[in-house]
Amino acid sequence: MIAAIATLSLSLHSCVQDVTTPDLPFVEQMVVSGFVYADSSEVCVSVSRSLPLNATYSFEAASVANAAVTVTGPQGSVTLQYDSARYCYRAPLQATVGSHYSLHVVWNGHDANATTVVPDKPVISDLLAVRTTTSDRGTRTRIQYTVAFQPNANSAFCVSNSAYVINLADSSASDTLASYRGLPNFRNVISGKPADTTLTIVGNAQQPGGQGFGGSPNVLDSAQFALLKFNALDLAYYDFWKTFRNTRNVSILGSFGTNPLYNIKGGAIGVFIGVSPTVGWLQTPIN
Amino acid sequence: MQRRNSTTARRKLRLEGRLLMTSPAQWKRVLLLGFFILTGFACPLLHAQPHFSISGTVRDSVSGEAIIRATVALYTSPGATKPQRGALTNKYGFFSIPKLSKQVYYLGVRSIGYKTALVTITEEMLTANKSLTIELAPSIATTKGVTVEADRYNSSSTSSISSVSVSSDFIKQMPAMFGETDVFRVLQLLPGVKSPSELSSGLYVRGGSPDQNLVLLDGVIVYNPSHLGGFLSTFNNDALRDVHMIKGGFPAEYGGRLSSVIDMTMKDGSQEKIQGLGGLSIISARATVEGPISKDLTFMVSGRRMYLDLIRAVALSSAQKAETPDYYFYDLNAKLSWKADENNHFYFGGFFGRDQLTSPSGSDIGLNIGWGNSTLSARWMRIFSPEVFSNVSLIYTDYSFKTDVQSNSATTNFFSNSLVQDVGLKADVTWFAAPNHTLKFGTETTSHRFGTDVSDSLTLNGYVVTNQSMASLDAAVYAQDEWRINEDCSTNLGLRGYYFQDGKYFALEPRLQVAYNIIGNVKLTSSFSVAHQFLHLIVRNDINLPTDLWFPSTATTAPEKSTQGELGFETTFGEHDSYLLQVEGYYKDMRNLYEYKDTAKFSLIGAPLESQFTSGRGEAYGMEVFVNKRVGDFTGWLGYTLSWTKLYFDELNNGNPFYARYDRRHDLSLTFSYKLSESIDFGASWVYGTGFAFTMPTSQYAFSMDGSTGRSYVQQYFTERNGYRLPSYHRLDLNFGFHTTVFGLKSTIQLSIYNAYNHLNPFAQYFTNQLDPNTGQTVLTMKQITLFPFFPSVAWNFNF
Repeated sequence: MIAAIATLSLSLHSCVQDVTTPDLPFVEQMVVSGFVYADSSEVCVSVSRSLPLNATYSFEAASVANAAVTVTGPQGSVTLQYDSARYCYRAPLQATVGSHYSLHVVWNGHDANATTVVPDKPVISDLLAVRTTTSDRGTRTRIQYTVAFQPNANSAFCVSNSAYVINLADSSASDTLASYRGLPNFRNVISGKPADTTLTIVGNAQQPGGQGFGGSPNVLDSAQFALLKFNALDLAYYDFWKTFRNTRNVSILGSFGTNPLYNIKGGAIGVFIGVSPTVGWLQTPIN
Repeated sequence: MQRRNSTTARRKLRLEGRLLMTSPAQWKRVLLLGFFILTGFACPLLHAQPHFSISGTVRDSVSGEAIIRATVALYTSPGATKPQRGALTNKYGFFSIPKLSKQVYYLGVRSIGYKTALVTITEEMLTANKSLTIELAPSIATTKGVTVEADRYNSSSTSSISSVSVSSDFIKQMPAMFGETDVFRVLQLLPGVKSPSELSSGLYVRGGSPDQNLVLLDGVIVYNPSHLGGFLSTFNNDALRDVHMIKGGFPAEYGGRLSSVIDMTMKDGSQEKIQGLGGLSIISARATVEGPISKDLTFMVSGRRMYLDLIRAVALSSAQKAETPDYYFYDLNAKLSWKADENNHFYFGGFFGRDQLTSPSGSDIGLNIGWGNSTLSARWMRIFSPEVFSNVSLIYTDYSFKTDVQSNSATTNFFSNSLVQDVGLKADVTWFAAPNHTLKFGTETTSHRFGTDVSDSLTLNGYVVTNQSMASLDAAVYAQDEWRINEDCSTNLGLRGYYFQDGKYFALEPRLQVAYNIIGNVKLTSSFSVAHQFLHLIVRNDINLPTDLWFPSTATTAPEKSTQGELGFETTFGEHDSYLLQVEGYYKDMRNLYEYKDTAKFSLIGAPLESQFTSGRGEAYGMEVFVNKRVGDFTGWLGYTLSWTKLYFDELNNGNPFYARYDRRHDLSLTFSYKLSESIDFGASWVYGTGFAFTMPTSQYAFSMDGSTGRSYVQQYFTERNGYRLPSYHRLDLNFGFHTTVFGLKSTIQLSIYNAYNHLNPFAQYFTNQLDPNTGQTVLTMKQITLFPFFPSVAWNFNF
């Protein structure tokens, strides 16, 4: 009887209803995203607007095609041209390591600006992978790969999802990591400060005769080489990344929402970031 | 800027301490004050006439348990309506009326829920100090309810200021969710006390957060007094003898927390016979056994165990088990009381509570959350003389809170572990020094050990844990004088001095309570207090899981400080003063409150965790009305609170002030229990509250995270922190108690209905993307979570 009552009670509890959206004040935001890649001859900045909560979000509705976007670098100031989705400018503005760039965007009464620096290429001081055994939630075998960067207090580091696991036996190349749960290109951003320049990524190893879970470092178990791409980022991206990841996890259990920490100043939200990519090789399978 | 503020606050604290310790002017003031106090006490001694004291203990005639806060009134003639002197019993049932001349006295001893006892003291009996043991018989006609001491003798007493006592019997008659009566859920119904949510038994007292409550069980601090994610408190009502709450302006004998005191006393154990209580609710079973081991030795053991995990094991299939989390809690109270002789009593107590939540085996996320408190105490109570009463306690506390999340397919690995171990020594002396002065001195020293392990909330299949362990010592001394200035005016004047080793903080805390009987039984009350808190409970807002972390003050984390004042009046009316009306206004200023920064990171290697905190201040003010029917078949109260709680953090909400999440403008509760017949009683409570504050997004946007065109996330943009309100909250709960005999046991079948008219109260509101089947497009939809609609439950309680 007690079990029946408990089941009844538990089945009754906790329900979720749709509620009418209250009349919220809507203040339109200009949204800006720009990345300056080292050695790239292309600089692109996207500009959009925020939409009311009760609108169906569409990139078309949010797009802004008539903003004035200017990037200023060592070679001078250039005005970016709207090109179907973004504002871009190609050669002769080729971003160089160590250069400073500034962004100025004006649209519909919004006036925003930002600055960034293209950091030095990341220097990988150590890259290794090991097999470990843990006893949490039962004994499990895990693969842990660690990459250590030489400290650079002015930049952050991250792994890119442009990683390829290569199996020479069947000449296949997998970019499993690249599709890793749809995460953005920059993953596991760490600061370049001396105390925080080692990136450790752990995943459960593929179980014998069973299927591991896709997308984690266990894919290293079934290949012979892996090519991993790493990036050095303007340090501002570190703060943005951390706060963005946390706000993706907005609490519905009574906590509060916060906005990511942007480096665009003035009348816009978003980031303007310099990036320097490099690659590292890792021999697999892991012993 | 923030760091500068913290440093300034710290310097100020140190300066206060240094000035008081070194300034000649300050020393002069202290010496003068001491002189006046001492001469005040000495004056009665100058009389040549011999004096005697009448002291003793007041006990329950059935169980032998000490009766706390019983009124002892001393009359000089049998027909007198106004007592000449009087006293209240302390936590041990002890009272003392000193400096009496030799004559006939008539003692009237009463306590709500007991028959009044009359004792005559003849001149012949007063050849020496007279020690009495007075037994009060429980009254069948009156039910013990919620009491605020406002006895006629105590019409100008300060003891009732912002204070409420709730009896164990009354708690049992209140509606119970899952059939579980809970002391904290009853306290939540008092004006000035708010619940953060239906899910929580946490207490927000006059704008203070739950960590700012000093929760004492037999004098031992309990750090996290909650089970089941806060749904129930860890205190088993069957093991409690007394629950006393002070909502503000507490006397100098209490310290270490900013907002309130919840002082609970466990039963000593019946002196009459071995007996017990038990109960089964839909989620737990409990049993209490108490009784005498010998003439002078009694025991009490009380345990409770949630058995949802056992139901899960028996009732669910393997597939269902793979989808259902495993959870249980238990708590165990034990106490041994040894009366070595009339003047020496020893008490040994322990409390052990544990919660464990584990995710189902089929879950992608491995969840392992556990927390628990263990406390041990040994106490020596000694009556040195009829006028001097003392206590010495040795205390051990061990608290841990661990959250471990390991995922297979999601990037939500997380680890947090908070450990606190305390070893403490407390001593206090009460000196009934003069007819109008009762002095209390005390000292407390605690050695703390803290451990804090935290990781970032989101890492890729793993986490980096930052460990930090700290040890610190705090010491406090206090003195207070309950001074009955005249028939109509009383004060409790006190001073508490604090030292905290880590950061070398020294703080002084003046405390003052004044009660003035203006006319008849109408009393004006006022209090002022300064309090510091050297331990901070830091809660993460980026995690949907409990992440409580106790963190001590350090050189860079200043102690929290509150300054609060109350002003009010109270009166009694009706037959036998059965009704009490109490109105109080309060203002509380809180400094050095800490939260995580919005940009906090937790993968800290070599950096202290406190570098991720940001400090601010808060203020709370409001007014409370309390109408309490205290005795009779019908007992209960009406409570109303009008209040504001605001927070000011330079680094949060763009530096703009914002309301605390639990800020609630109007809060109303109507609570009563009624004895319908000898076999049926009925209890009900209705609550209404303005919706809590929350942060609502005000627009949506998307942009690329890396400059590519293919990857964009739709995000919500938030403007003002806690700038919006959930809809108002109201709920009616009912309880029927049927007294009968089951299996030969004297039993009560308790039927409770939670949310009787099924109001869908908001627990939280949020926006989520939802596919519109008509258009095939994803739209942002606002959702509301309601936790508990109409919810009946049944429980069986029995005596053996």
